[in-house]
Amino acid sequence: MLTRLIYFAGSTIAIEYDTERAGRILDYLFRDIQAHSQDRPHLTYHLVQDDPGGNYCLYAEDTLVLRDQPEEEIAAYLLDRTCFHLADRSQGGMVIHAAGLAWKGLGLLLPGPSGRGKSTLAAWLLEHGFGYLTDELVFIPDGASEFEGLARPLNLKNTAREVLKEMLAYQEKPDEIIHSLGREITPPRVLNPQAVIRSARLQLIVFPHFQEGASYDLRHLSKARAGLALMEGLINARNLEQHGFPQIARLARQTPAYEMIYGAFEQIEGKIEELFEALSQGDGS
Amino acid sequence: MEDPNQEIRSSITSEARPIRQADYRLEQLDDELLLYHPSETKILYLNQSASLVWGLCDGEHSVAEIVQLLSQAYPEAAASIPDDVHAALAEFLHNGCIELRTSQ
Repeated sequence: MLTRLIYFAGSTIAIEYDTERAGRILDYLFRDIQAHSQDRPHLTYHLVQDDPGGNYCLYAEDTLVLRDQPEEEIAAYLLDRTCFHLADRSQGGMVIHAAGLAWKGLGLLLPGPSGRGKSTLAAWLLEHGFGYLTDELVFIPDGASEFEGLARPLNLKNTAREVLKEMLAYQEKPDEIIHSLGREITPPRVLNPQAVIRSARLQLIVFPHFQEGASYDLRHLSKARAGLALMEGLINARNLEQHGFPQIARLARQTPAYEMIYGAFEQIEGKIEELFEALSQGDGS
Repeated sequence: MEDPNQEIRSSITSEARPIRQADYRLEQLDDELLLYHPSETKILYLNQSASLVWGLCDGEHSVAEIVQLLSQAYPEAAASIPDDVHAALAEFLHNGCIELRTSQ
């Protein structure tokens, strides 16, 4: 039996497996995530393939959670549940529901609830040269100005395909994309071979809001409004002293924040880069 | 649009003295506030005018006195201050972060 450790935000889970194919699924999902830890895993999955070339069963500790499923369903399940379990036991900092990227080394947070287009925007920015930290979970260690991301493959809803169809890299490597029910699991290197980075200094927060047919609008958020919105995306509040409220306020004080409404990617071509340029020249208004 | 706090607003008298609940954490961010209630995990955003009202909810000032103080401090906005104060107090009451004392 082989073991894959997955470490993020002070939290560790393990996945035990016993076939080469199972190992390839795990490598596909977690190759960019730290695989060593000093800590005992708080949860162990067992990925079992009864016969070579067949389907899989997945156990969480001793409980059967998936029976006789193809690898794309296993991948989709693990993609979701590992996020949940890592955030649930995280410690030593804030875990925020956000995509995390970087432009010329400058960190960008795209927080927001599911359905606002975080992953799709992250994919689009990747192909426009941004570095990739995560499409889902950002970790800001206590007292740090840098953040880390859970660098899993991007979880793109099928509706994103229509929006992203013009992207060449996306079209050129269809075999590297796993299609599961209603979504496409896409490794970041499909979109940008040099994309994955470990950490970045946080410089800018943009709350994206994709609305089909909407006109482009960029609104500067006051620090209190940004703090309110960030607090709503703080996933591990219950693990933090005072529920992370002082840390969120500090983040809102230190980092300029905007809400960006858009209805098409053509509208935002170069806009985030312009924001970074303006901020570096001391004008973020 | 109908004010969802209309019923609460109508219960606020000029003589009432609003007082903050003690267990709210507060973060001042420029001239706005965030209030957070740890056990209820409830967060409330206060704009500039609501933040000023919050600061005067000390159990000493009546609603009428709060209106008067803010009208003196911001005469250019005096016309809208009574409504702003009542709206803010209704929001605070709705979220349970103040109570009204009706006598000294």
